[in-house]
Amino acid sequence: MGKTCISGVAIKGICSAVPKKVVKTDAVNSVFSEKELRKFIKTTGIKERRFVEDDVCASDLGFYAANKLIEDLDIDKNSINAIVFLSQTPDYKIPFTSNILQEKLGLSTEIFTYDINAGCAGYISGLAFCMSLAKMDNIDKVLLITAETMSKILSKKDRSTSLMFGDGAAATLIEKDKSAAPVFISLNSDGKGSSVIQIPDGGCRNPISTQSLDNQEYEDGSIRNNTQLMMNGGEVFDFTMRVVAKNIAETLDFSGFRKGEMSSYVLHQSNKFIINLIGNELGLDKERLVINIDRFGNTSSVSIPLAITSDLKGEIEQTDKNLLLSGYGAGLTYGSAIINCKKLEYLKLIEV
Amino acid sequence: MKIEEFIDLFVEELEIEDIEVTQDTELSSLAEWDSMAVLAVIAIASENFNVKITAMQLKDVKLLKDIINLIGAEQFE
Repeated sequence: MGKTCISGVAIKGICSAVPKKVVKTDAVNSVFSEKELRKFIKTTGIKERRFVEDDVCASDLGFYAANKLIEDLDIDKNSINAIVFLSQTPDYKIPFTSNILQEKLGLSTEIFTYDINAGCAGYISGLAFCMSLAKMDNIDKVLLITAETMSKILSKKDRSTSLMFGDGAAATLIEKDKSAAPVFISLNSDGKGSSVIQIPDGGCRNPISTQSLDNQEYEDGSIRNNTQLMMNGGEVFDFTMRVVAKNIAETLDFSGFRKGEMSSYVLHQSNKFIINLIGNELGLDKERLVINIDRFGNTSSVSIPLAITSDLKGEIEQTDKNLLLSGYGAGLTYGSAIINCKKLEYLKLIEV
Repeated sequence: MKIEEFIDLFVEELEIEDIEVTQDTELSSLAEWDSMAVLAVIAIASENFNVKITAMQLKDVKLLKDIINLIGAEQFE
């Protein structure tokens, strides 16, 4: 496993943005029976999610989140030296999206712009990347925007994804700060699972063709085409059970912290059942596990910052509390981070 | 736990109605045997028997007694 410790950088603020449109899980539909919906809600915990309107992209949500954060923290736009957009639902195949956001946000043209394509473990890899940027000379502030419009890549008739995923974005401001507590990070990749969560067509391996849009029926009754998200739920579940609790325990060991020294555990919101199983395996008190999946579903790389802003606001800002964050998903990749909240000045969740 | 008690628990957790379930019931014949049912069985095995079974193991099972064998026949009275 890859582990590191980064000192001299801190998370100053996080603003999340979710669409106003609420999609209730128990809304009657032709794919799931009422009983199936009831059992789905009981197990996964997902009561409702947010979906964007057709003309809104992930970067738009990211723009609102970042703009609000810049305004509220009264940040000089010229002091932002790098912007990273992390998403699986970018605006275009070419060009990448962070340069579009640079212009839209009115940031300096003298700026590093990067896109990262990453899934549910993305917040951890995004943090690691942005923090290492903030360590560079002449880079002071780095803006990490994680944003997803999963609703645009789902088949409504897919039984493993259609009720699961939601839309949202989060902007995280990372800043050089010599007195910041060290951040402990573990990142891992298991590339043999690369086909377990996938959109098969539309890249250069399987270029889009007329067949790509053919609806196909699968063994479990799901109907989707090859430009839509497929997930082998069983494989993902087994992967999660195999690696996540172990990774969290190893990250704690690496940091020297005991599990009781974490005020909250913010796990990727994949499924309430899974989060509780991981909590049980680690022997954690239930109240330390942050769960917001009931309101937002699985928002991929947005879920961790969204959970921090939705459920920990008013509890952790500028305190000496430590959070353990853990993400896992497409790749298959997984990772954990331990952050201290002393430098965290600002948490906000907005509806747009 | 007796095998009959396990079957009752299985029926209750999966909310199976109007069908007599036995060890020889074919899982594919149950409308309730879906991905949520797989998680429910994993929970039953973990909470009642402290046995970890995987979703991929449950993909291959045909009959209810195959689940009993996965948990371990020796675990039952």
